[in-house]
Amino acid sequence: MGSLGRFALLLALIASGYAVVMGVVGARGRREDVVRSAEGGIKGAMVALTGAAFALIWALLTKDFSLEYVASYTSKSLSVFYTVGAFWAGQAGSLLLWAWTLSMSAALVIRHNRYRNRDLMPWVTVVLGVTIFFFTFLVLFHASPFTELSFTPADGSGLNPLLQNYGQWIHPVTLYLGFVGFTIPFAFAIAALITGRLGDRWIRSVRKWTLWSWILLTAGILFGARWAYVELGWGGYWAWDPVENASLLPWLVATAYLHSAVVQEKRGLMKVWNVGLVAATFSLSVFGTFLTRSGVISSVHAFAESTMGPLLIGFTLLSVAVTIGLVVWRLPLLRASGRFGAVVSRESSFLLTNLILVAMTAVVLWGTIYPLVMQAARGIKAQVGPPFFQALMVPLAIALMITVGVCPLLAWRHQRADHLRRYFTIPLSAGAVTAGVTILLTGFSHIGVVVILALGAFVMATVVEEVWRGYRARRTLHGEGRFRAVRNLFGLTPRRYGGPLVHAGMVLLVIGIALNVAYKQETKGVLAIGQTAKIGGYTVLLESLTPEQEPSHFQVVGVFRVTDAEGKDLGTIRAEQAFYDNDQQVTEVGMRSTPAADLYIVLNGYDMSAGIANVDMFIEPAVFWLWLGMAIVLMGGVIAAWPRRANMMARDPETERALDELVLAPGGGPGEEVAP
Amino acid sequence: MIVAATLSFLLLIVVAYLVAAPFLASSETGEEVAARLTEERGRVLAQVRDLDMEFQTGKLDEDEYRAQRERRLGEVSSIDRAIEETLAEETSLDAEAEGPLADEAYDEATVEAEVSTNGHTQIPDSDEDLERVIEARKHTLEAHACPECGTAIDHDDVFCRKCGADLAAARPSRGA
Repeated sequence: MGSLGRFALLLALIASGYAVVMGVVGARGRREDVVRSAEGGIKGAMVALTGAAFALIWALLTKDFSLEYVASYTSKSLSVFYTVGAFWAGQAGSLLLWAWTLSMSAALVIRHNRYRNRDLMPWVTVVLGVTIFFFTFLVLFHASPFTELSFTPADGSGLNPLLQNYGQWIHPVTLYLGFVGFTIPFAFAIAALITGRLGDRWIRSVRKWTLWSWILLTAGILFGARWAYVELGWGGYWAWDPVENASLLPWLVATAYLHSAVVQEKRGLMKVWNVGLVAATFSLSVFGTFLTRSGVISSVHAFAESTMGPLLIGFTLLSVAVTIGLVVWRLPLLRASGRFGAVVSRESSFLLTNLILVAMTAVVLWGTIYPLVMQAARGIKAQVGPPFFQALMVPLAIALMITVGVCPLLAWRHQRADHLRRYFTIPLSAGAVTAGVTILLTGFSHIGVVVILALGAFVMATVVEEVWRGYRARRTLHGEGRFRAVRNLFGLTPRRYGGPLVHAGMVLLVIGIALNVAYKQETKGVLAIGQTAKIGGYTVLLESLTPEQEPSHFQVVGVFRVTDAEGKDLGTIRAEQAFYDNDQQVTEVGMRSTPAADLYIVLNGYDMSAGIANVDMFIEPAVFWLWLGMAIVLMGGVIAAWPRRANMMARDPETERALDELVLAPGGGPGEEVAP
Repeated sequence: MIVAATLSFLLLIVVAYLVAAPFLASSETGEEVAARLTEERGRVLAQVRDLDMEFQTGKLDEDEYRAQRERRLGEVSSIDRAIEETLAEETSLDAEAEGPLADEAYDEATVEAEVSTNGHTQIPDSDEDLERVIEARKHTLEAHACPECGTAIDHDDVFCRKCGADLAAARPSRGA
């Protein structure tokens, strides 16, 4: 199957190259049939890359150890689930996954636009073609999963046990889909610049793409955090590791874009800014690949050093240069068609949100590349640790929370002062009361927590108020019943009310993190069987240490009995340490989760003959809220992005009427009547 | 080996077909165009609904709301007109690219003109009324087409760009 894979990759390379050339020819000569053929080239590349992916999956499933990749990442004993998951366990496979998913997104976007945006599509095809060509080139010539060994080993070295977790099926895949998805808005932005059609049409055309990519990227990052927390056993979920940062960078910029795109749609402002953000998101995605794959950094995520570093950084710089060149060329067309409103208006607060997010991006980017810069400039090995990021990111996060609370309640253009007072009375009171209660309960020892909780209450109140106002509007103006009003609120205007849910989830997430950082407890020590240790009101007794031989590994299981402060038995927790044949050592964290805190036990070492174990124990407060926030964020995103059935409605009068509440009910007026 | 070779060959055939097919295939049928336009219509109407909500919850002032709503309704009427045209005759893709949809006929200037003439129009309060407004917009749009050949024209064109008909003579009074 190696030969099929190599042939398919070559075919994909030729097809995507053909798409680029024919796209340019078709665009310049205004030849629709040539453009369609260029699009056929992209679809062809998709078919070919699917063939290559199939070849790799086949080789993995049949354990074809003559291929270096299969021999390196699987073994005879590996289950089917993880054997297929080994597809993206290594550099070559994950680049193939990248190219493959990109070609699928590209083919989908071409299909979706087969009759619309025909003026933009030639250039969209060109940009997609160039990107597919580039990644296929990398897979084919720099990291091929189809490289054959000179001999066929009897068994493979097996999959890194850390990757043998269901997370291997979620975290890398969603992250890649997110990264890859941002190629589509980038292609449209470039096409809009080249054709000079810089209205809001390109933004509207890629809105769903951007939103889904954002959701997938968010899911990728958060599932990664969860995986680290439950699997790695260091008691954390985020370490400001360069590769974690690499995923956060495009996320921050994309988040900024999602907001500023609305400003362009509604007010015709921030056109250059939007093009810039879309290009930055794409470039940072590629830059992230560079960080991960060039071997310039050391990280849990990094792959071995490879020759593709200069190519990746070159591609990043090329995309930046092309965008800057086009923007400068098109500046006359990029003038705002509207004017910015007052200082206190929706568009101004959107701008502020954007500036904060871009500032966060700058902090993370600088912290991530600083060691590289120092190494290159002065030959010094510098480290930028969590304190740097925390010192700068916490104030920015607090500022962002304020805007998250304020912005959605403001009106476009200008805000009437009396409305302002009315809208913000409840949220401000909620924030003040929360601050007061928190100070009474905890004093001033954790002032950061007080601030975050107060802001959290403020934002939550604004979210509730926002939804409540929409609900009231539907009830009073359209005479809808309670259930119907709620359903229509999220069903008919999902974009408006999916957003607040995402905000609410984010706030829970931030609160979870703040409480966790402030109240985390940790004890490390040696426990003998029958001995107890105390942490956070719990008493933990080491009951037993048992060696177990499994087919693929040897493991030691520690069983810990937990009792609470009143001496009530809470059952046992199992923590494991496993040793694989290839000297890999993996800990399986033992955990007891409650909404207040997780008791987190790691078996770090043992001496069977003496019956003692080296145990790390953590109290991880409020992690539950972090995961709950994550679920709400994703749910809100999916609600906002879910395809609307109404779009597909035919236009007979009956159906039209069924699209309820298209127009204002008699006597419907502006907001005053419906505000609480 | 034979399996791999066969599959490789199959891949080659499929890719070659995908690349070559556009040169052989006929263009979009009228019904396909109409189906797509109908989908587009639903999308724009959804935006109208979004605007209504925004206005009702006090996020948009009245002028802005009217202007944006007018523009969207204008889009719907352009789409309606395009649908009728397509169903009347099988349009080629090229002609359609110059049609009222792609050409963003509803630019800012048109909207402003619409708003100023219609600034005091009642906001329609039923679906039927909304459809009537859309219908009225469509007639205005038709006034922006060459009476001879139907090509879209700018309001200050003297002769049709396509057939050269004298537009000044045929032009209806402005502000209709």
